[in-house]
Amino acid sequence: MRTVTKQISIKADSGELKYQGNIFMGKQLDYKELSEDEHIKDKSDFLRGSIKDSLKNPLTGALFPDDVKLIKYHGSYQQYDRDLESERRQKKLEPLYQFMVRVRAAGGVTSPKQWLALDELSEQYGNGTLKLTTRQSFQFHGILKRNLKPTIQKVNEVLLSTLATCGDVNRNVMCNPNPYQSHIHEEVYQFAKEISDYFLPKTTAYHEIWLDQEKVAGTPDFEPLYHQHYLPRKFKIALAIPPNNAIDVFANDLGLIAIEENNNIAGYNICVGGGLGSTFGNDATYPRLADVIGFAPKEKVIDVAETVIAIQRDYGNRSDRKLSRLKHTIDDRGLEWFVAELQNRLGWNLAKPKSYRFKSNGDEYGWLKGSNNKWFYTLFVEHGRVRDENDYQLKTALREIAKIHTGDFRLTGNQNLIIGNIEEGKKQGIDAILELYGVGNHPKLTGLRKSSMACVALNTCGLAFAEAERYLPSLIDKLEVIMKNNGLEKDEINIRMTGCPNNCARSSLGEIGFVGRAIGRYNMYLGASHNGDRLNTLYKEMLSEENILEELEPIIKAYAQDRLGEEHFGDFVIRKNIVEPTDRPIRVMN
Amino acid sequence: MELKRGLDRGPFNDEQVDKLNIALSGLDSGQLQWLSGYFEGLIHTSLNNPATGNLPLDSGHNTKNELKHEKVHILFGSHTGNSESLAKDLHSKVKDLEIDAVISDMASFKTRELKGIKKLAIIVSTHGLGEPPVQAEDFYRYLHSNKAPNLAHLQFSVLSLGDSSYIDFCQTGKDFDTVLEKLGAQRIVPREDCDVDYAEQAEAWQSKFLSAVVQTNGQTSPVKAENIPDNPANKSLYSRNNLFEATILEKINLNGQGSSKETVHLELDLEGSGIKYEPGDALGVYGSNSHELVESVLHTTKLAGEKEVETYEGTKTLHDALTYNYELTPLSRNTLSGYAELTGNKGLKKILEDKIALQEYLSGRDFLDLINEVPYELTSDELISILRKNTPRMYSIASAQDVVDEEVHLLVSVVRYSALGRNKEGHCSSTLADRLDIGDKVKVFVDRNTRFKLPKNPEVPIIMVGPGTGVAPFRAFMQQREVLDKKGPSWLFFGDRNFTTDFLYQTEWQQYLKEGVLTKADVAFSRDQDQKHYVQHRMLENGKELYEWLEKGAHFYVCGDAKKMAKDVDVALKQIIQQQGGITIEKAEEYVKNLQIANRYQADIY
Repeated sequence: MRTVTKQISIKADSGELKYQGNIFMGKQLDYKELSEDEHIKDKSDFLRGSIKDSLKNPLTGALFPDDVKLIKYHGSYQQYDRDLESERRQKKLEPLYQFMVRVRAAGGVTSPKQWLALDELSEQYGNGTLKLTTRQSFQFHGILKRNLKPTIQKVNEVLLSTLATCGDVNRNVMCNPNPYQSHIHEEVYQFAKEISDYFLPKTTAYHEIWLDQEKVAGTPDFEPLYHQHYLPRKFKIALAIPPNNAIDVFANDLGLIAIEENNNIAGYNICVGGGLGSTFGNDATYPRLADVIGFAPKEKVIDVAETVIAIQRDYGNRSDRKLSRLKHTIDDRGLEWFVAELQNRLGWNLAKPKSYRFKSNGDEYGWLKGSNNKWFYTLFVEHGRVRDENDYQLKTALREIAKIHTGDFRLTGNQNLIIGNIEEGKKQGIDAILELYGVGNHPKLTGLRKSSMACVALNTCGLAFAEAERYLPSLIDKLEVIMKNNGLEKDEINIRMTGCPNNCARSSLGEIGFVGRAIGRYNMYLGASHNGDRLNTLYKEMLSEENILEELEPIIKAYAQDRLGEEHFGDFVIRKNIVEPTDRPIRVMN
Repeated sequence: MELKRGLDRGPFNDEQVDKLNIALSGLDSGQLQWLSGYFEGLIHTSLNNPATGNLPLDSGHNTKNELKHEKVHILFGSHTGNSESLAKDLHSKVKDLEIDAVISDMASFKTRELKGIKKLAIIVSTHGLGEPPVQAEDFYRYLHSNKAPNLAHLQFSVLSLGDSSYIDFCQTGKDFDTVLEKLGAQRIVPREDCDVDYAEQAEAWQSKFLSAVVQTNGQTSPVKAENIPDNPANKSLYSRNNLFEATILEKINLNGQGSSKETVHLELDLEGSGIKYEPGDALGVYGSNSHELVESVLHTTKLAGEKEVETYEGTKTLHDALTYNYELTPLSRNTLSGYAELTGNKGLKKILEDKIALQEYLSGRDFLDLINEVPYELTSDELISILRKNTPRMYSIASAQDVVDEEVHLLVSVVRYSALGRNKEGHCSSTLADRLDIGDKVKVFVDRNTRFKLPKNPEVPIIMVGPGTGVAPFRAFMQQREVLDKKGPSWLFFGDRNFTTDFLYQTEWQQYLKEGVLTKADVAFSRDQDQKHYVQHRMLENGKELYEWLEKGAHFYVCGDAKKMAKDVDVALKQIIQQQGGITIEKAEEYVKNLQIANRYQADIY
């Protein structure tokens, strides 16, 4: 069912025009019909809220309820340790409130100095680990309220930021980190940075609250793009350089596919309306991949991006947050309407999409020499968790590398790490450190494990219904046995697990995808493509581990026996009608 | 009727029979049984009491004439109210002798009256490290100053209360005793130093004192039964002398995972006991020694646990006696001294002579350490003769009966430390933490504390400073006030080590704040940042408002550690009054003194 998105020129009690969409669709939306989040934004004075008071309140480790929403824009989620919840209730202690702090780094690129600073912060204020996210960000977990400010300050001291890593704004901008063609990568990366900076909120609230900067008296806050109420929902942008789609370009609200002509970037294919989150039991919600609507020369891409965001700002649903992503705005009105609106606002038409070919959305591990003659090492980091264990001192190893490294660190969209731009003469030293701490890619690492991804889920994520990061490794242990029995230990099958259908680990793009339903129970989805351009389909619901193994064993066996040449697992299960292909394929407008 | 017939046969005249009949009829068998035990105790006391005897009834007239010259003054310096209640008890006993008596707390006693006093009873406790209770400070200092008068006209005796696990046991009482003699006064009965279980000794002293008062008055006045039991119908059958065994209903370590502390919240069942208590009262709890410690002592002494010994509670096996009747930790001064006598060890004797060395020696040592260090073949009788009798530990009650009904809640900090190469634990706190579980029973009694009570008028504002387990009585205060429609503002200062794990009763305070039962709360967690923050820092930060509260008549309460916290809080309070009142420190001290005299500054510190 299509709902007409309500618009957006709201008269508040004062009579002042509160919502000033660029386009007014004739209907005034009553203030009461706006979602709670919109009310909070409205009252927040450009994202200030009462965060300062919340931080000062010594009787609780939590923020005031409105500030819990607002702090997202500042780069943090209030969470609590769910493992300890009932025990603490019995002890008459409030939940162990703690904060996830997300650090943006466009394209996931950081310097060794920045790495060292983040490493130190995770020890000083966090839980001693660094999480490399599925969107090329860093996450600290377990930051207590009193340590939020020093943490954010120190992030900023090394020229990184947490601003707008969460919240209804453009988030961290992703960019293919893998330097098949280093010269092109560098240009695309610089462009990702430019986009990232361009779409940052302009409010000075962040600097006042966290960096002790005084608001300049008499200067009103001004958000030229977002306006006073920001976007209806989060907004994600990613840039891909074919043939690598490790950043899953189609999972974003706005995906940009770099088109290379004559060794140069000619421009980008424009993809709109991706978003994988859904809600169980709400059929109006669904994962959706972005449609490819055209091509724009590179100098006009920012213009296009800004206009796409503005349309979403004006037309996105502000009364039901579950239906407020760009994908809903597009599906409510039709892709044709959207393109027309976009071109109308731009004043020019997009060109037809250029041809592109993605090979994989996975990472290529190990050493690779870029066309700039520097070396790159892609390191497997299981589910992006950088930590020290007894015989696996990953965190220490990376710290030691950062101390001698002169290049950069790049997070991949698959939660892995590239130690990048290594001078020929330094390669050996880095290899030696990897070996010393036993953290280099193990030769016995299976294709399945290398292609696995999991979100944080329990014990810190408030949304999770089931385990993900803490559980998937042991499930893979068992699946590896099946793979090995069928001679498939080197075969790369994307396997992804998320604790809830918000889909942080992009399970909908897993050739095998799991979405948590309850502790120990998962929906299993099969049949996504190996390169991120086709969603998977629900295979069975509420499976226990035993069920999962029972179900997968014969399918894997059949795959080993009946696959056609290099046929990928996701394609195989479709061909064999084990699942129907998705009914939401990507549209390419020609 | 049957009762009367029985009494008829007793050594009573008709009037006595009638009175007894009235008093005893209607009592149930449990009450009668209790009384039988009570009378047995009474007889025991009377036998040791020369003042109790059949005295001629006809000398009343004479007595009256001489009363004017022989007025008895009773002065008490109380900390938790024990001295006060003993003083009141004595007061009524003196009056029963038809002797005029005046009772006063030391803080409000006017020293110029000393010259008119002929007979003086001093009942005083010792707190902290041999220091007088706050209430007694001024009088103590006065007697020790060069302004102190000659007291040759005065006859006195001192009853001192204390805790023999401290080195300076009953020091304040000893000091009063010494200084009064020095000032020329004559001791009519020797000083009695009472331990935590003071009841019997105090009663004996009272009898001796009364007897001396009567004798020195040169008269034989009638002595009425000096132990008239309280009407059992209105009171619980259980008391300090008749312990109730309460069942543990709930036991929770309130500290979160990763805490450096262990603070146990206990809920005990008082059902059927009839025990009543008020917020501010304490609960006396009897602990036991751990099996390991008892076994180690038996092993070292090479004594058999099955061997029977004669304890103050009758014949028991040595193992049981060591477990339940005597204390093995910490090492007390008396035990050390007894052991030094037995062994004749010169080293120990030397230590006993030097206060600082003694303190150092006792610190962290238990009895097992001692017998390991200085071996000696103890007999089982020698062993129990030198050990300290099992004494109760007092815990401020953390509940109010208006809310918890027939329950009593405690907050117990579990003492664990390592010393002299062994892990040690607090005698009673480890009993509660390790040796008793939900469903088990523990012997308890209510220890009234009249010196720590909510204002009578519930609309009077209260300021509560209670870090650590010091917060216990304030939970009781809040429970008491939560059921009231009209209540004054309240302000809590709480502190502990770490916010995330040590915020005792955190969710309850949050709820009280939300409901408005608690008006304001400030917290200090000492180990959450480089600099240590304590409750007094929070007080000072809020000095202006705190002073306003005091000016509006707020009562100020402090509960918890006596060694450091209570002193720091006291200093901070005076500093606030000085600064906010714009007065000199001397005036601020006077302000605080007046708060104390008006019962608006109450401390329950340990």
